[in-house]
Amino acid sequence: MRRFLPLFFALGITALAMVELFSVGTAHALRQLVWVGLGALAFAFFYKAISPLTLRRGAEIIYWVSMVLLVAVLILGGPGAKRWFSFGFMKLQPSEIAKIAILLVLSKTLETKSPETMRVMIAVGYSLLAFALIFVEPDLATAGAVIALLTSLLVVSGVRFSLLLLLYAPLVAAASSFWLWSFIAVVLAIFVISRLMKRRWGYTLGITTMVIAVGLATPLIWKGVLKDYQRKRIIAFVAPKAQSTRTGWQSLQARVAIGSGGLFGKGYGKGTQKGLEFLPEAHTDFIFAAVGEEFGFLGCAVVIGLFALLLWSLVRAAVFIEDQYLRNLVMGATTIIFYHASFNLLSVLGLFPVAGLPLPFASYGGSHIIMEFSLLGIVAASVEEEMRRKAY
Amino acid sequence: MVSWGSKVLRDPLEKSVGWSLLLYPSPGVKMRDEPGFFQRFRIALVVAFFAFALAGALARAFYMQVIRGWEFGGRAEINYLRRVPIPPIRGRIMDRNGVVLASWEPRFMAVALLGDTGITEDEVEKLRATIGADSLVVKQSYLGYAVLARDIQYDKALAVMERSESFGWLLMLPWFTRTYPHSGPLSPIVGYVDADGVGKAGLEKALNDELMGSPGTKYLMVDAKGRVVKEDIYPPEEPSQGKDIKLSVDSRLQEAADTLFRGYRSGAAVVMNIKTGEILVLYTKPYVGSWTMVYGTSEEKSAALSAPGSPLLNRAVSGLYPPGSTFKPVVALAGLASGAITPASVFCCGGGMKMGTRFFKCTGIHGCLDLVHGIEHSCNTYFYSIAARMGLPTFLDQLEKMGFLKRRYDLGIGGEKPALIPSMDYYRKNFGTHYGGAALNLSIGQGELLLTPLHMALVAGLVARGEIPLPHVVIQIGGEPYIPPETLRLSISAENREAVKKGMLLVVESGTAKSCRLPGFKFGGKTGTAQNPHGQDHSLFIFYAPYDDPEIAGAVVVEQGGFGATTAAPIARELIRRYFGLPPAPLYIVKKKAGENQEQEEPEEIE
Repeated sequence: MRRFLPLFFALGITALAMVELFSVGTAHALRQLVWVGLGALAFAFFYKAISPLTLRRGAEIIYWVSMVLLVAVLILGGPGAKRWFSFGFMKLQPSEIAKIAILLVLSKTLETKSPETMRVMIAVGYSLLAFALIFVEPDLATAGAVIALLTSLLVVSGVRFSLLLLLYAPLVAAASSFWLWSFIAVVLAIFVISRLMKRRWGYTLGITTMVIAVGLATPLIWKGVLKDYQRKRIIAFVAPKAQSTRTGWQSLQARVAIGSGGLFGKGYGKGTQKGLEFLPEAHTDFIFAAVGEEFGFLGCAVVIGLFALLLWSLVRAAVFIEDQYLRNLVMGATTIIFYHASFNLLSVLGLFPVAGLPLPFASYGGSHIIMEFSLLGIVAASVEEEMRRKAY
Repeated sequence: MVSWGSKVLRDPLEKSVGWSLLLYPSPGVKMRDEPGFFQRFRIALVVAFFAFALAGALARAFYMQVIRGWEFGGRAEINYLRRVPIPPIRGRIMDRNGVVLASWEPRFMAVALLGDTGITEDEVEKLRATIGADSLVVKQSYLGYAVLARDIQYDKALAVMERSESFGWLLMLPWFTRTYPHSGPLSPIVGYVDADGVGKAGLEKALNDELMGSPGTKYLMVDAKGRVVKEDIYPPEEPSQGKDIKLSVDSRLQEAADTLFRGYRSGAAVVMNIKTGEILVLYTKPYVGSWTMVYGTSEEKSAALSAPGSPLLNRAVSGLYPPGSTFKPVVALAGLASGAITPASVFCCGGGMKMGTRFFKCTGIHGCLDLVHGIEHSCNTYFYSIAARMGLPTFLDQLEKMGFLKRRYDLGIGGEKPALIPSMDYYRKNFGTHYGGAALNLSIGQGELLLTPLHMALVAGLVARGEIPLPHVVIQIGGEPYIPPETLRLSISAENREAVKKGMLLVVESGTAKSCRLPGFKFGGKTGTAQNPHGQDHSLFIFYAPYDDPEIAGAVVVEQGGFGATTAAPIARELIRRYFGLPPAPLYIVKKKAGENQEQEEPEEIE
């Protein structure tokens, strides 16, 4: 039961989303049924046909193959953003495969208890390569998933916090350096935290110096070295959709859709926002808005509740597993799924900028549904492997 | 409480970590000695992040849907709800006999419902090709719709409605186009509307609110592209129709005036019922037809407007003319009222009158005349004498007391003017103490004195009856009769007034207008010839009819028509004949006596 509990809740989300998809458009709903079928096959494949231990052996190969695919899509993909290969019937998104590949390779790299600095550096290297390749597609939100995955696995696999602080402090310093007070707060916080870690003064002074150096250098590079057009290009690259009024309009209409649903919703098939095409992407990224409009706060609460139960069941599996590699797999899968879920829900609700991420198990689409059910298959297989070990 | 056991086992991974100070005030608490505690703690750290995100999403959904739900509900309705107007039927305008002057015909208007993209050029082009409207006006509106074209014929509208799949963004709504079936010479009274159906001139403008009614509202549901998904999602609010308006004007008589003016370039005619104050004819020439002003091409409009003689000027109420001899009844009334003369006062005409160094000429040598015959022969000397006896200040004072002259009569057709009578101050300023000659000039309707044809008609009417209800052209608004709020009165004894009235009768019977008498019908009149510095003199005639119990009065002005008796008087005679339904009768031939200049009123200056 422990193995299938996540699948159970995930299918609950899928079923609810399917009901809403039939309201949005039958054609999409019927095709989604095919994708969910393929997702079930993917689940079965990773659960039964291939053991996590086999995947562990081939992790590096899978990783490099997926990197080659990412390079290939940069050359052959398109038109527009180079994110997918177009086959007649479907679009294959190599970044979805890459997510599983990175999960495998990071889980393997970080499985050793007491990971050394070297292993952490290798894991960071794997992640940065994948991040860079996805980032230039460009797909910042998906690239962010790689960073989230790395961070999550570094934490879960027991990397010392002092090392984590050393890794992430420059990033935080660079990000905060555009506003004086936030920068001062960050420097002070890092100083205090490093003292609390009871490390030598050398560590504290070193990390603080580095943070200040990075923090001072960033605005200097930004303003001094980079030309104006380069800055604009970077802003456009990092936040391309923020500038598009169309996206702003969609985001507004999504909020109107959710808000107008009220407590009980407008009733099944009676949503005016999605029905009258004010919400053209109601079947994909904005499915949650469509649910919110037709089923109201109650519908939203059920969806969020199912995600909470899914999170709980995954964590339950992670805690049950004692093997570090298998636990990494489970927590990595959890991170990928909930990175997408959190980002999607919060952007549809207007708290985050619209990033173009699907809602796991719910949004219409082939690649991501198959990928997510594959992750659940890996989780189920990991739990089964652990159970077999404990039986001995 | 969870029991964490008592085994002391430190996590091998985290020997040097002191951050637990953040969580526990005193180190050495047993909790973190539980096996796997640090793994669980690290898992919890990651999970807490996502759990926090989910909780945030739930809180945000609650805030948006339950706390601010109504607000977003309104926004959603703004998205899909379109209110489009249902135009009301504009009231008709009819003449006194029910002849329809302004009416409506059912047409369609093309209304574009604006989606999030607005209307594209392609869509407009497609519509233009289908309904063939050259004058397709795309007025982007912030009301959620834009009116693209009005006055679309039924077949064109049908062509659009048949192709509803390609014109889903377009709505054909009823529209009532303005028509002017019989306005013709009544156009200056009726006025016209603009392309939006709002009155722009004449009664269409003055009574726009009454005529227009108020539009209703239709509620539609549209999708994001502005296509109609459902009609009447709320019950429509019906428009309240405009009121019909009935005029006192008799279109047959007005058209008769138009025919009678055929030979002349410009002029005006006013005929009114002096028992009721209703204006029967208010004719001006030249004029521009209402139809041309609304539906004419721009060339037609500019050609009509640039035509010589200012066609937009309504001469009947705005045209200011020197009244000439038609002013003599007023002078007589002033003299009688001031006590300067009585009907029996006799003045002798020897061909003119000398005042200071100037000699003021008469039209002939009339001998000694009393008031009645002074009017009959339009003897200048007689009226010079009245003016001389009164003196200019008394004269002007008497004119002031006859309030009807300086008054502006608001008929609602626009441009109405009061008569222009200079004040005493004006004469003192321009003539010093030598204003005696000005009084003489004034007494034969020359000088700085200007009257509109309407005021001239009132002169005749007041002489005939002594009182006239306030003149008006609108007798019914939406079936409710108009009652004149006051009556114009002459403060003069009936006896004195009868003398002037008698004089005007003799003008027609045996005086200057004797060629215009009607067999078996007695009416009064007064000819006038006004000097025109720009060309031939203006021909004037004022009249009342019949002599016994007068019913109508009027004035005819023919610009550059020459003598009053030869041009204006025959027109007036024909209008009287038609009004009373008398048989046609030719004009009497008058043999001109040798040496008698029929009506040369120009005073000549001699050394």
